[in-house]
Amino acid sequence: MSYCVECGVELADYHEKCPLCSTAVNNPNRPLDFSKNDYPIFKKHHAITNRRRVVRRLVGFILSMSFMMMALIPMLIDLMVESRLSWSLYPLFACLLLWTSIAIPFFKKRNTFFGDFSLAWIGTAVFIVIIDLLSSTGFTWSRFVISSMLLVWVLMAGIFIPEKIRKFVPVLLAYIVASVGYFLLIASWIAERSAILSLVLPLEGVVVLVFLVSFFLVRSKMHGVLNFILLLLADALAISLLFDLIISHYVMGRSMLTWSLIVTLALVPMIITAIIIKKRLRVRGLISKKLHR
Amino acid sequence: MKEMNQQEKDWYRLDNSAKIYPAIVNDRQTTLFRVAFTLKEEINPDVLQAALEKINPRFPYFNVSLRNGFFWNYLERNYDLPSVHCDTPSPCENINKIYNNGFLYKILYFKNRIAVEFSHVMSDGYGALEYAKTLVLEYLRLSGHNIENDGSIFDIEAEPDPGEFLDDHIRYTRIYGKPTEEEKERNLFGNIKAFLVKGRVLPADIFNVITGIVPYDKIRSVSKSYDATITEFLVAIYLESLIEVQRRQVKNPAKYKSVAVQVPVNMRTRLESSSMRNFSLFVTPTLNPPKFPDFDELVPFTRDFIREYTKTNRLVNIMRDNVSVGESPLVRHVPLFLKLPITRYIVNTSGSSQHSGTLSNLGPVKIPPGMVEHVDEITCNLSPDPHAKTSAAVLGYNGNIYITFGRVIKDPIIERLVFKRLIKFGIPVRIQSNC
Repeated sequence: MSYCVECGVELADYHEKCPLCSTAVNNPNRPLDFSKNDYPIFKKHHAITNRRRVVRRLVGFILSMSFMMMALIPMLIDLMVESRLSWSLYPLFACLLLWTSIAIPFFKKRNTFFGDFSLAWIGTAVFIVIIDLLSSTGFTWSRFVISSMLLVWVLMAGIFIPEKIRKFVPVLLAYIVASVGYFLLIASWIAERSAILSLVLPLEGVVVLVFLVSFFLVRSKMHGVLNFILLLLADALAISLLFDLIISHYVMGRSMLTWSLIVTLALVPMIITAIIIKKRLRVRGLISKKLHR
Repeated sequence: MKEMNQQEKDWYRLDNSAKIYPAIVNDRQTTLFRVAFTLKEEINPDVLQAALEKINPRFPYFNVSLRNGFFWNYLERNYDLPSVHCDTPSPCENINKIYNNGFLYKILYFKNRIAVEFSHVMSDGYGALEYAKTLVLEYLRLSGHNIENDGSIFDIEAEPDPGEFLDDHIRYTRIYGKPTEEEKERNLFGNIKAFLVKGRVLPADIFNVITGIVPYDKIRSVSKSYDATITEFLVAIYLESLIEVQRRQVKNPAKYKSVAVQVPVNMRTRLESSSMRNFSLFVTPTLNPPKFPDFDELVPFTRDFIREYTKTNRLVNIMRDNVSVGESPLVRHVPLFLKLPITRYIVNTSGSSQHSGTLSNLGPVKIPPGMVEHVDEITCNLSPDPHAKTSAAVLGYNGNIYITFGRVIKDPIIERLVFKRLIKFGIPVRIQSNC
């Protein structure tokens, strides 16, 4: 019998190394004997995994063939009738989209939700661009869809990228940059340059600033549901006042408070009530007792 | 009369403990329980299949498949024949419905070993062990050995007892009635945030097990010196190992969490029951930060905790709490398609952080003397726990204690500490493993 020099446990004859500490077993009086192993060896297990992989590839191959047939038949009919490829390009690219999003995952060794989602997303984006190019003179409506898809992809990436490389601050920055960039891009396509500079940019700046301040307050010291509600009310108040000033400056040429005064009148009593509840321990106790979850 | 009809019934309700399992079963959390008998002769699969078919009518409540109802899952009688399969490198792999004819248990063989893997949806460790004992006895008889059943194993010629079909959680909750004001104070779902071992996780279908075989008399004498049972002693070692792992993995002592080991308690030993469904509860010895005791204080703490919390009235309270959740009108009337994801979410968030590990002790296994001559070893193990990462199952047979650790991480950090501790006490440990 062999013993592990590190742990002191008695090892079986099939142990090349100690299963507890991985120390190599070196006993010339007791050669390794794999025929005495207590469990089937993993090679057999890998054979099962390989069999599964072969079945998956077969399914992928059958799907690919089906999509190819679905694309080829309309193309042949189109060529026979029109002597060129015209309408058949639509089913061709639709089949291409189906192939990338359904058949390709079957050929991959390891499937992850985000990987398959990204593949389907890229396929859909390419399909939309091609349909836009085929149906109109250039890159027109599809740019709105593509930019929205890109924003959604960034939001999804922030959630689904592996934990090892997912860091909080870069993800937050990516979200802010993607959202601001998206709105600026859309604004640049539909609005004039002056409107972007004097309206869209300041409004976005206000939203990002209020979000960041609130976010760091929540992270640092403003814990608890009551603080959160208070912060939300304060955010709503700040955003409405600043929006009112920016919009009135753009519309009338000078900054003044108009509709935001009504919002202020509604929000201020709520904020005062929240502060009183926060300070009065008895009221807080009563609320948590009656409305506990 | 009502109970007799159970045997002719085409379907059964899930017992109260089993209701949670269909929501959480996946390749990483298979909720299987394995009992393996190593014989002194090589297994003949044809004889094993014949033995399986012969004992099957004795256990009608195990010949079932899991089905979806509108409000709950249920067990439907499966009239197919189960079949034996060659063992896999990883024990407790998820049951493939097609491969396994829809049955919720697997009968596996490898060299000299017969293993039975049971889904917790049907029964607990006791049920799996009793079934495995009956199967092995019948296998040995069909192999030509004349073995007398001394009554420690089910008689396959007899009719199943109506009590074997019953969900005794509900039966005893009804018998004991509503809790008194004093008993109501317990809080079953405490706010424990237990420490969870960190480590590189193995692929979903790989589950590493290490069995440590230790002599019963040696471990008994050491545990006796602490005035503790073997379970209490092993739980104390497990807790000590978890404290050490937390010390290594969490650098900042201010961030230390509680360390808790879940210990299943077989309720059949406390309340009269012949149920073959799930009928066990858990007690969880918990140590809270910042100061953790050393081993000499840990054993008395574990001993006192387990003895206090396994008193029948305390266990009945836990049972009441468990049953009240499953029986509440709100839970009962939520459709299954909503219930499953909600349950899964609760179990994977707050439920998973309630304990840092599990140690299940099936106790000494009793088999007829004629059978002992042919059975070399008996081991058991729990299925992978993706949250706690490691779990242990213990049983005693023929002068040895078999401690099987299963893990879903690469590094056997807990096992190493536990077995090293046993060796430090002068208890020799023999190792078997699949890795």
